[in-house]
Amino acid sequence: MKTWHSEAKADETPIISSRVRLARNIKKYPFLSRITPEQSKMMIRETTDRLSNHFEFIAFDQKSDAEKRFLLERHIISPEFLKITKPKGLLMQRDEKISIMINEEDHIRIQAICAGDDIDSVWDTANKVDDLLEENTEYAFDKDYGYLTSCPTNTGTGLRASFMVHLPMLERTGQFKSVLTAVSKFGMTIRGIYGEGSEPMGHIFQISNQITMGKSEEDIISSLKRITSQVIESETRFQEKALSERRISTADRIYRSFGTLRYARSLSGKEAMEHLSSIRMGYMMKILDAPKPDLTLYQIMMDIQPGNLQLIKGRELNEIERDIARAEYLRGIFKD
Amino acid sequence: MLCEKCHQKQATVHMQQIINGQKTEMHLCQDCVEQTEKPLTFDQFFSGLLDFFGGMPESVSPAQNSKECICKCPRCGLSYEDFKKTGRLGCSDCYQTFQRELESVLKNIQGGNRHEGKYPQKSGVELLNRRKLSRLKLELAKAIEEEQYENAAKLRDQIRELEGSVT
Ligand SMILES: [Zn+2]
Ligand SMILES: [Zn+2]
Repeated sequence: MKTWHSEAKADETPIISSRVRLARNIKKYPFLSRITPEQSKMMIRETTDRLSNHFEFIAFDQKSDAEKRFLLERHIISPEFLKITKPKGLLMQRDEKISIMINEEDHIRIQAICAGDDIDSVWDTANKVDDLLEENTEYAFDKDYGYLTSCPTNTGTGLRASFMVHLPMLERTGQFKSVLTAVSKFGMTIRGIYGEGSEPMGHIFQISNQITMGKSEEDIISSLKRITSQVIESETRFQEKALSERRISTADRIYRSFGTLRYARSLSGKEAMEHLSSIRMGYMMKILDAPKPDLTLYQIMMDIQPGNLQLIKGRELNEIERDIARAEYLRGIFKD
Repeated sequence: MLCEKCHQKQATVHMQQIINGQKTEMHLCQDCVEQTEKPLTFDQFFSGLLDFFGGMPESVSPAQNSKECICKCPRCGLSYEDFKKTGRLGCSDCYQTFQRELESVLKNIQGGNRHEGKYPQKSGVELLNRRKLSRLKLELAKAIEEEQYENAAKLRDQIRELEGSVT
């Protein structure tokens, strides 16, 4: 089964993926902060029983640290989910396009994701999963406040719609701060991925809505689309400028990245992401004349993260071993 | 050739400038060239968006400091103090218990403090009808004001029909 990140669409434009997340709670159980471990188990069982025909159940609590990290790096679970110490459950589909976290900050977090720019279809998918879940349960819902969530920042629609975007030129040319200010003025937010809290890696960012109440899901999504297209347009403008004003030096950097990945013997995650970012841009701008690897660039970016790398290698690796394994893996991909 | 600015990296960008009739050459590295780009101004960045959003977004008003509830949620035992510490509510009843406080919290962090989105299919049908009803009533008032009596009659029929299903 093809995962979303192996689809060519993930490489074609600055938009890597489109994602929708819905937060829901079940009326009869207290929220996460007050739910007991016994109630958690019951809630997980009831929720998973209902969906066992449609999804694969992952006994999350029994997974190894590397496996948990793998799921995090592939955006199947959230960083918060890892931190929660109460019983947790996970439902997912093999293609990684839909996953449901049970007992995250809210009882239920439905997530739908797809490659490229197609947020309407992922909203449609998440919406249907939501209806399916609701057939046999009563959600915490209020006619004025909408879906009731643990944190008031999600109340109302419980919707977080987002685009994962690759913005190498905006970041390199120091535009990021103005983009951030502008985006936040419209109730949206933009932040780095992977570098959780710290500096973003590979110039990859997530643009998402911050406001969940006072607007319909469709309105939230159309605002997000508008803002994102504006950001993408600026990125493209800077890419075109680089091509027309300094074609050689731009190409030079991209080919150097290509050379590094083809021959390096040890690569930190940060350095590798930087070169992969250059190469993704090189293909996007059609300036890199080399056969495209079978995997999408984004998939390669995920594969070289520590958790994924350790699963590929089939054993735990320390940092030095990881850098060597990472370089080896990348040589295999970019070889002649 | 090394970059004339940072003297550290290979100069790969070679620029010619003519200042006062004098031709000068500059040799810079890719990083230094990129850092000389001027940041986009807000207007440049969002010129196309302001129309769509109907002008500049409203700024958020600061939180009001009204007297806070000292009670605890009867269902889960959470106090408003607890909520302020963690930012998390304890159960769905907390929304009733701390309604007054939450109204202003929601107003401050959200675009508005009323839900405009999806309703649950099952339990939501009646709520949905009620929302539709209040919208139809508004439309009716407008139709009467604008003397569109034919339209008003149609709306009145729809309202009657809906009122039968909403108790
Ligand atoms: Zn320089
Ligand atoms: Zn409560």
